[in-house]
Amino acid sequence: MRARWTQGAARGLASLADSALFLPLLIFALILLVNAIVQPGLFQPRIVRSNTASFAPLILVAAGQAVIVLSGSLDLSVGAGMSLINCILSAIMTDSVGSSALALPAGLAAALLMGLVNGVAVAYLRLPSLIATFATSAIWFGAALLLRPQPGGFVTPWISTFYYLFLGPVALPLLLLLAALGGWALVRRRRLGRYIYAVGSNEEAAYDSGVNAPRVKVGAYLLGWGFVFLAAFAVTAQMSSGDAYMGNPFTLNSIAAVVVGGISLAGGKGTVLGAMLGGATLSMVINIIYYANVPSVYQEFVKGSIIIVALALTIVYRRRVPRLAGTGP
Amino acid sequence: MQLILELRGVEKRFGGVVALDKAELLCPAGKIVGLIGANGSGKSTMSRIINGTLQPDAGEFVYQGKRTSFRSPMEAARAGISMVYQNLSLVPDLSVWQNIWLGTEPLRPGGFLDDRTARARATELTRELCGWLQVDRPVGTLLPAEKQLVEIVKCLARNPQLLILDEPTAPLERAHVDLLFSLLRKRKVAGRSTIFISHRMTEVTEICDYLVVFRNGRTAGTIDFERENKDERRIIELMTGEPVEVGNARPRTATGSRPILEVQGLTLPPKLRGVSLTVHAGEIVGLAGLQGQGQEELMLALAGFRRFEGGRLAIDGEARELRHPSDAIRAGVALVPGDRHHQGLFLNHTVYLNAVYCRTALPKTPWFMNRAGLKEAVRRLCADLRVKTPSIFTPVGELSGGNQQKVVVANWLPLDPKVLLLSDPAKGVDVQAKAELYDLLRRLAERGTGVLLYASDNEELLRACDRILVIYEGSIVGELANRGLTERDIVDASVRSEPKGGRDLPGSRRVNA
Amino acid sequence: MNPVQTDSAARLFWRENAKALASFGVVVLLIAVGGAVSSGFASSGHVLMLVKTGAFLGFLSLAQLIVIVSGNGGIDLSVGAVASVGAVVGAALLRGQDANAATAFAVVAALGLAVGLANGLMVSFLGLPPLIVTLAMASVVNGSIYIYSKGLAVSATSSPLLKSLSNGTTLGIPNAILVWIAVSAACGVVLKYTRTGVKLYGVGANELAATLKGVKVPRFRFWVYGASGLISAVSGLLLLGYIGTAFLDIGSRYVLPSVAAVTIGGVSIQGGAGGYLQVVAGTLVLTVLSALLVSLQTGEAGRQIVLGLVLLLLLAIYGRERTRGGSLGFFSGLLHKRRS
Repeated sequence: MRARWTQGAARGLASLADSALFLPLLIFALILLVNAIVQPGLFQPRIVRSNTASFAPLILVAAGQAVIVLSGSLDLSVGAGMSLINCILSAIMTDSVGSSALALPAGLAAALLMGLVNGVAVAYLRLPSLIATFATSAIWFGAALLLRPQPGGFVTPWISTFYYLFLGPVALPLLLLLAALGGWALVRRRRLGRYIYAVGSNEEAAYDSGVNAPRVKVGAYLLGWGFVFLAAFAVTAQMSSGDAYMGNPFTLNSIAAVVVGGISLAGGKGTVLGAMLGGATLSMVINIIYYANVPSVYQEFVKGSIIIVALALTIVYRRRVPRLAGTGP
Repeated sequence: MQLILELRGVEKRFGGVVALDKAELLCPAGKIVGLIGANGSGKSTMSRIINGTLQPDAGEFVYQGKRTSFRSPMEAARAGISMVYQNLSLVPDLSVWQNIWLGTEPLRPGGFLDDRTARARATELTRELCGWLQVDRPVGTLLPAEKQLVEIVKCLARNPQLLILDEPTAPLERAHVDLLFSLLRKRKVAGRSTIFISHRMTEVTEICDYLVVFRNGRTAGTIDFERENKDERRIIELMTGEPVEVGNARPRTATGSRPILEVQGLTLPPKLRGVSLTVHAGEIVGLAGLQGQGQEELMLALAGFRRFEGGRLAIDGEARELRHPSDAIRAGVALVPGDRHHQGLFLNHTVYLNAVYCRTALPKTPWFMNRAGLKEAVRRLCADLRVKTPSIFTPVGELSGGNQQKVVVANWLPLDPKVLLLSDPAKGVDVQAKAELYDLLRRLAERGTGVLLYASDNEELLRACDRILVIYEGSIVGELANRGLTERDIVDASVRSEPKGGRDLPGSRRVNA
Repeated sequence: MNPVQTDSAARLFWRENAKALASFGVVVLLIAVGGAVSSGFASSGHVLMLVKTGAFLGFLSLAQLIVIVSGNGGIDLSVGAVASVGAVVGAALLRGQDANAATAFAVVAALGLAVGLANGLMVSFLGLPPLIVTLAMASVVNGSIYIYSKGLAVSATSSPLLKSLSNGTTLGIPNAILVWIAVSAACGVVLKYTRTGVKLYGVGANELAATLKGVKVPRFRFWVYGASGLISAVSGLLLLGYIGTAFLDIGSRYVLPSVAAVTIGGVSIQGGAGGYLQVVAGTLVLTVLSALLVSLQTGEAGRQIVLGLVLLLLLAIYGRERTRGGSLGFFSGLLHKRRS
């Protein structure tokens, strides 16, 4: 009987090791541990809330990038897009609550439009996604600069208040994250979700099977930018102003989060949850740098190194995994 | 006899090459119709016309009694025609059951995927053909044979009226083939029709009710197995037409010269299983066999592109280990690859660049290439080989197939290779250029180069080679000396071969008809 | 049968460089527009100055060119960061003295080479995507500069020799332009007349065919990235001479434009073809366009938007992906696979 138990446990562990979440979970746990050491009181409700609030933007934009990468593309314009949405929000919002009723839909519309442009360029015009989104990022950035040449502008106070409302440990940021996760869980159970993975895995085969690959890719971009909008909203609520430069670090960070989260840059493999974990991990790394009194000058260097290490790790890990995966007939 | 499919007078050309020349195919409903023919006979083209991937240039297409035409595989699928391709339509990161239902997923109300039903039905469907497979496994982890079986299940899941299988048994073991056949027989009972395309005589005679033989783009004949005998000789006759009376134009005395290429037991899974052969200096040795028996892989292995796992190789008496094409080139081996567009040429670049390219990898070439001298050399080379090009700076993609191939060969000539490997060099080349190419090979052989040549057209082999080796399922199964040899002999040796696990036969052996 | 001819040099030149010449035409057009809009724009002094500014972008675009031509998604987004590090390290080593020039040059070149080779290692031997690798490397390099300089601008200045090289004139022509001409000529020679140049085109055009003809492709690409790093670092030194001081972001403004310059000149982003003349043309288009936008007072915002749109437009004309679902498409059977 003991033998069966250990056999079952071994199989359970093996399947966990196989699962796409293993590595991101492991890394997350490790970083959490380190963070807990350098930042005592990490698990107090107040700290949890404030951390969640500041981590939320990166986690959300990582989710957006994840959806796009899963479909086989990449989007280097998410950071500039966030800046643009932020500037639009701060431009439209005034003191009245009514203005936010105008601003938020406008921001969402802008996000979806950006996603549409990128999606059409990549899926229908067949431009290489890396360079095409590089180009569109300049366009979004320029537009953001037009709206907000200098940081400033106005964000209706109720938004920030709203953002920081809480009940116990649960605050709006957490709800945003759950909403994103829930939204993706919904899509995953529909054809679009399945087809995003199919197209990312092998577009040709998916097309031969009758899947409208270009339409799926555009769908992935639109969905991804929905998450980007949420991220921009979160940042705006925190910053209470508009700044055309604020989005810049998010592009590279979202890619780092996606990679750390176990998503293959070639598409078709990985989970959005993993990317969100990756975003959390990366945010905690920044936390660690701060609390361990590592001079902020090291931040850039560390982030770049982490991406490289994570990339290399995923490649190495993936070369080993086939041996762990199931047996033949 | 009710016909589910009637194709008459079908014509199809690709550029200057005629693939189908008033071909005809009549499929009785509820039967298994076999389609057999030599390489290039048009059977693949025909199958792709039926399934909607290609459109015929002319001809009549009647399906289920109605004149139709399909502009895409989707349209054909909607009409109930499904084809198992050689390039599988499987997505590696999704599981077996997800792949089976890809594009046709069962849904719950509200548009959500009904995964439970999909998984259960997939388990049922795979039970017969590949029951040992866990349907949750990602397709990317499957063996090639297993992927083929999943692809077949995927097609069957759509329960097509007409199922087309294009060389389905190529990656399969005997046991799998039996399972497949029992499944096909069940389809017959249910009144569904199947077109079974294969080059394996034994299988075709076993499972098909009705056989259509293609040759040179036309229907050479049909045999109704339910009424007539399964006469293999008659089938081969239909495949090859009148016996071609040819021997070698000139008697050659290549024997006695030294072996320039010796291969012993070369193994490279999954395709090559212990190839052994010898080419002597000044000899042209041909490699005959049906498509996909390992010819490509053998050429690439000999050129150093793939490291083989077992076996030994010697060039001009010296044992060699080839880890990279540069090793092969330095040993004096040159390859004219099978797919000149993707493997042999830089299409957007000039004839000049293509002709001098291999010099760049040679240490003896000076870093500052003598452009003026090289231009002159290329010009002379093109004149010698009669390459038809307005200028040596014309992009090579603009040349005709034959001239492109000459440029590929010209690339190697200045290196004076000891061994020249050619993988179907005259495919898609016009008659004139083909003759010039083979003439060139003759001249090279006379200068002492050993030539190993694979051609899908047996006539070419007969005209050019001193000896012909027959390759089947990754090993050399026969050797024919080219004295009074006919094409029928070659085809015979190619199709009458042992099933998987057969032994390779060393030495010379005349295969008797 | 007509004897095969060798094209006359003129016809050959025309055919190879049609796109570049078209771009030069655009440059002339832009200058004319500028002259019409703001006086003095089209004057010889101003034009010379424009070309001089363009030289520095031109050097970094050269680094970008060789990486892009090498194919397989080749791109180097670390050129800006490496230029910055070249400027900063160069300034630190020069300490304003000409005597240190040789050391400074050697160290900067070696540093650039090292960074480039690190990129090459990850791209060629680990198979990581160039865009992400070089982007991350830029982050690492910039971070290192930040650590080293502790966030402050390095106040050390360049040496007189460097200054005169980048900023001085000879017979009325800015030295920078002369250097650019020399570099262009050298580049043209290497690409057309040497083994390395011919090899490069093959590697980018058809990796498989190049391998079958004996080229060790991963190793070759490894060195190409190294060369890119070296060129970027040395360009940083020249930038130092031009601007006078070195600071963290000195190179970062050149990254996107370097890609754009290569594309605008007509070089395919997929690699395998393209000459430096095209890059010169593209660089000039960008430089003049930027100056024009500045004189039209469109501001940074307008500049960014126009640049992005132009790049998109050119991608749509020159740079569509050939096959469905990825660059290699056809070949997965024989090559080391990405897909099942």
